[in-house]
Amino acid sequence: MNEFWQTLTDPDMRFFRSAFYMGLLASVSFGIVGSYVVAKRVSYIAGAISHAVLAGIGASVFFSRTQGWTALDPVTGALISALLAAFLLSWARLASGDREDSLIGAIWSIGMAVGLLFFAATPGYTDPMSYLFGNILLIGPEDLRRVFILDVIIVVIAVTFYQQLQAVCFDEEFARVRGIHTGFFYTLLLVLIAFTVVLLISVVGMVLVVALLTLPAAAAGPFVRSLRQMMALSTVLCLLYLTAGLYLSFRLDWPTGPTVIVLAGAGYLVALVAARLGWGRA
Amino acid sequence: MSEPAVVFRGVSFSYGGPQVLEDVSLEIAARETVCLVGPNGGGKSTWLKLALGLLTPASGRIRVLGQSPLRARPRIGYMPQQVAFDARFPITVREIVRMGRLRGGRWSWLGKVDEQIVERVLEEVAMRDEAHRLYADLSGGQRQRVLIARALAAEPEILFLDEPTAMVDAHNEGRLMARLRDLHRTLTIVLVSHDVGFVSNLVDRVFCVNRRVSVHAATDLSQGTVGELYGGHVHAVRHGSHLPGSSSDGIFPE
Repeated sequence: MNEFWQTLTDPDMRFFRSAFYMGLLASVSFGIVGSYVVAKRVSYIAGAISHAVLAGIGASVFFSRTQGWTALDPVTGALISALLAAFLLSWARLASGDREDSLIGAIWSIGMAVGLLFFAATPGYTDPMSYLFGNILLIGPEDLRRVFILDVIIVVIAVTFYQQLQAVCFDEEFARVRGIHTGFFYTLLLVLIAFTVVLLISVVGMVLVVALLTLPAAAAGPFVRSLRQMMALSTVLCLLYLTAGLYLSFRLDWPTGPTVIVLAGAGYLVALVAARLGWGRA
Repeated sequence: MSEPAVVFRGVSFSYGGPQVLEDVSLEIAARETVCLVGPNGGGKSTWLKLALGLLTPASGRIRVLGQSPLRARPRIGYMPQQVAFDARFPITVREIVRMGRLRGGRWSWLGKVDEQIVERVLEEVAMRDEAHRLYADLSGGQRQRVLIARALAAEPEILFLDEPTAMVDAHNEGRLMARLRDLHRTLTIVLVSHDVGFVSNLVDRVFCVNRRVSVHAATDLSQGTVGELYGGHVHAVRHGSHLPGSSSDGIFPE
């Protein structure tokens, strides 16, 4: 463990420290938004949003290499495509009604396909693996600042509209009769998901990020008495998985993203068994 | 005579296929307690969604408390069917009832007055002692009362209850209704149910919905009329009649 702290403070291991701080910041957003996702049962929509992100990443890599658009870095590209997917998916739910599941599948795979085509078209070798499964070596101080800003936005929105979002998650129809603009809050929730999945793409990657969004909240579920408590507990769990995952991957020389996700999966299994044994809320 | 609580004038509706409701005209007077009954698929739920402004009629006009359903919403209390929820949602009784105090366009958190109203309606449905409990841990009848309390928390002038008999026995439900009647004398109550007779001596009139709507005085409602409506035998339960096992979950003392 000592070695771990030394690494954290080692000036040559800046990326490692950045990944740790990033996890620290992002855990709050993941705990909060993940709880909404689990409560509203929109994991598959979160999945579609996070996979569609590859289109934006691919486009940003392509255009910055070929056109010199350096302002369009991968995180910005990811954010744009995540927001686009969020708006499309909320439109599918609110306006078109049926065929929502088809559109989820379409956005999920077309997003990835477009991204891979951009990668293929980009001159020179570019490896999409880092974006798919995370690579903490890619994290820079600029990313950390951006994660901080997004984190603050997510927390402020999620806390301000807690009652409305809770009502929409629990019973959308009742919320509508109470005059809550449920369409707006549903879209807001998907936008929050879009912001959140972008936060940790560099640590766990876009394919695995959904697991980190939903598994901590799902594991917290049987042990909490409110959405608020679910958010708090899943934030702690998320931080635990990220820190332990970072440490283990460093010690064992394993890739960080998959290590974190396997830990989250193990945590979920333990929670399921514990709940079955009656260790959950009384 | 005050204006009617609900008015439907020549209302028709379809989901794109055959008409679910056809040329429905009816009036529910203020302070009346009525029950809408009819077979599944007969259009009861659609009627309710129209009255709540969740659906818009293809033709015809709907007024609730003299306004369009959308405008009337702040004055409406609504209890949906229980089947619509995820029972594992981590939420306590009190937190659910507090949702009844939400209003569109109001961004602030609930205040002191809201909390007092929440406690009062919890008391009214005899759930105050259970307020800290998880919704998931309640019995069907208790859940029902939580949802009624949530509807009442809005301090409505009209109360729409969807399938209030679905999870509880008719005997207790009848007593709860009678108690609500006593507590809220100015309230108009609209029950929607596929189970006909349960409140027949509590409601003033019964509307039978099966694409079209016909009105019956509650006392006229015989096995014959109901059987005709459903096209078969119907088990009608009269409030006050002895029901085996109904006393075990007794909510209120006789």
